[in-house]
Amino acid sequence: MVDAPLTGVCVERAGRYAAFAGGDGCVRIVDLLNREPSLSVHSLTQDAILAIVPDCRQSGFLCGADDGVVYETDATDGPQELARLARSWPDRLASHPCGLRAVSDGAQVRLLDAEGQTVAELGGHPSTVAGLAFDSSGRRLAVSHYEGVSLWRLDRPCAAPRRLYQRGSHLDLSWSQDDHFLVTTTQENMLHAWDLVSGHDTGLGPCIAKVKSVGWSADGAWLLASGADTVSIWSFSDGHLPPPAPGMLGRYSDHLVARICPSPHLPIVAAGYNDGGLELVSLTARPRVEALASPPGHLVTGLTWSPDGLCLLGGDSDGRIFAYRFDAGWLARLAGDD
Amino acid sequence: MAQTIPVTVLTGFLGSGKTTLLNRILTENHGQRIAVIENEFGEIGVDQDLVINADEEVFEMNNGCICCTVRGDLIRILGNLVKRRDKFDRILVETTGLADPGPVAQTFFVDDDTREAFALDGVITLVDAKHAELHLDDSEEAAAQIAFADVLLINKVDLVDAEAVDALERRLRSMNAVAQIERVRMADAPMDRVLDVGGFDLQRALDLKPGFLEPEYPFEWGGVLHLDSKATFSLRNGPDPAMSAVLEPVDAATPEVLKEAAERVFTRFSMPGDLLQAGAAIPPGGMLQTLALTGAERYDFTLAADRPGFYALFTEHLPEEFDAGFFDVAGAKIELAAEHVFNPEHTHDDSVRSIALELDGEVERSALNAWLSRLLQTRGPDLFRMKGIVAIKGEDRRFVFQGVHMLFDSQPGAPWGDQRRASRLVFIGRNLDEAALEQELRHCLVP
Repeated sequence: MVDAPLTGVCVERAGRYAAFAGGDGCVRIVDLLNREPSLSVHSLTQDAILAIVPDCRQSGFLCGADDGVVYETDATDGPQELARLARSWPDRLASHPCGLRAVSDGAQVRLLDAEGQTVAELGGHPSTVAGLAFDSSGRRLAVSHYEGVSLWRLDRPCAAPRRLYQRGSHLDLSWSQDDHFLVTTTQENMLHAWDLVSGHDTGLGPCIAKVKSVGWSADGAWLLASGADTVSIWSFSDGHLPPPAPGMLGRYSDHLVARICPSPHLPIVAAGYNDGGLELVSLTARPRVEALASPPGHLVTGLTWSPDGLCLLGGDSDGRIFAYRFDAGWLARLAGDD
Repeated sequence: MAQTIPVTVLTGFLGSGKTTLLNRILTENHGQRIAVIENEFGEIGVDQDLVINADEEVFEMNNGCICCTVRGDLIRILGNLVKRRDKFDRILVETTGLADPGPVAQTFFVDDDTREAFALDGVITLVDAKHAELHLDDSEEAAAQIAFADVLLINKVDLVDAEAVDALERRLRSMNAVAQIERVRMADAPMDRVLDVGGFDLQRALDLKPGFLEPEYPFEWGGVLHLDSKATFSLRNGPDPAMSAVLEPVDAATPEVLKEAAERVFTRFSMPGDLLQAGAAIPPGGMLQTLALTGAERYDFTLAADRPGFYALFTEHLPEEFDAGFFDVAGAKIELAAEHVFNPEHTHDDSVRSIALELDGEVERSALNAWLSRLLQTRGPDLFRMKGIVAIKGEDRRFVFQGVHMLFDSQPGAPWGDQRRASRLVFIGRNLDEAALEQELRHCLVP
């Protein structure tokens, strides 16, 4: 329990430690190997941690705080200051195991290497940067903003980025695992998807509310999103952009799905609702729903799986945090075909 | 749901005193924690509160609604403020001088996350008493800032004469009939006039009492003179070859008496008058006289006072336009005991104005919905603010609504009980046709 909203949760690349970031400026780290989990609290700043992602290294986390500082912290060492922004908030972060970290700095993106040195400043975006995502190889960085996405080639950071134009304000970004598709969430209760091979693009939706969370199924065949009273789902299995209208996965609720996180290995998606409800839903012909937490509760503000797909971690706007460890066989049965 | 955090928006042209007001609010001993979202050119130095620089990133929603622009930076800043442990009691948003307040207001209608945690409390527009007329004459943004306001602060009133402030206030009132107008010197407005004004609170829409201007008069000017006997009303050539006038005996030289007399002579002005040549007499209590003002340099008319006392003279135009003066039989100048300028609407040609519609009876819900949605679709860009309380057939409770451009918010209000069912709507917009709007609303009435 934290006396401030959970602002982010992630698991380091090595998979051992998970970190919960809070609006109180603390990162709470838990050892997932420990059967009796205990939290170690690392206070980074007086104010809120705005974003947290796994660091580019195998261990540790990258955090952006509203004092303008980008911190790197891990379970054993205290926080290190990596960068300090003069007049903007480092509230969008990304990293890649090739040793790159990307930090939003107003309408610019600062690219840091594994040593924390600034290697490039990517600018010229038409608005403040709203989303950052490396492709699987780490050779491209997608940056979302007003009127679309800029695709930067990181081996040639001086070259102008490829611009994917689409009206409106584009927020979060998600690459398909094979880097074939790029999806943004937008201000308008819609997603936008680009097929980077064919050059086609399409809007996906509309959903009921602004989409705050988007992800791909483990096999890459499905795109999943929050923003409706069930999990929204689109099929990408034939390698083409799907029709816009979303499918509905799971059972209807009186409340909206606030966060989703697909399992990294199994056809299962975790869904957190704005009333605190939490479910696992199988991506099977007849979806099975397993309720983990029942409302009433608070808006789920973070949800993630450990890399091995056995632990589900998250928390809510009231500061409640949770960590589930599932039995591998039980999960497999939930995900199994009828 | 936790309580929403009130947000106050400060607008006004450069030099109107936004920063002074901002500092007043921050230093006032109210015990509130306030976060300030400043425009990028802001330069205040306040250390007790959080000051965030914003870039005023206005973007168009990609939803086919041409006027639906929102502040992307505001969505993001407010989204980040919600994450903090130490919540703020209030947020102040200062816009740049030239900013249209529309996108800020619309952000609170459009973005779910913003709506959930924050409530737009009011738009406070600072008006520089000295330069406002100039700004209003040549800036669309200045007009929009007036139209959007819940509170209009006429600042620096000590730097101009009272008549100029009166004229400015009348002009502002004709544009925005709903806003509270305050006259201040160094942006020294009482805090309860600028905070917690509830300008976008539907529950408080019930207090809606638009302050419309006095009716238009067929004369521009009225003045009270004390006459012992006959006097001379002397004029020069002016902008017109003739001018109508009425002389009316009154009891005293007070503004109230002058206004009462104005009501009495109102109808006389609409009747045809006698044409008087120079030298003729204007009888007190008489009908309309039209003073011929051609063919000479100077025209003297006799104010035919039959006994000593106060007399009110009403003229079609301002006497100063004709270099007019009053003289007694000995030729001494008579000073005015009171005067009032009427009919201010014709002095400016502002395309922005307020329209209030009041209608007894009940309206058909489907007809009202169809009308309002058509109105917003076709006139949305020209409609800055709208508010209303409507009596809907078969509904026990009032239907209250408010809107900004094409965006609209409504909910059931207080029950009618045995009160007379009537609807009251106010629109503040550009180039609105009052007669057409009234007729369209009438069509929604239950027959």
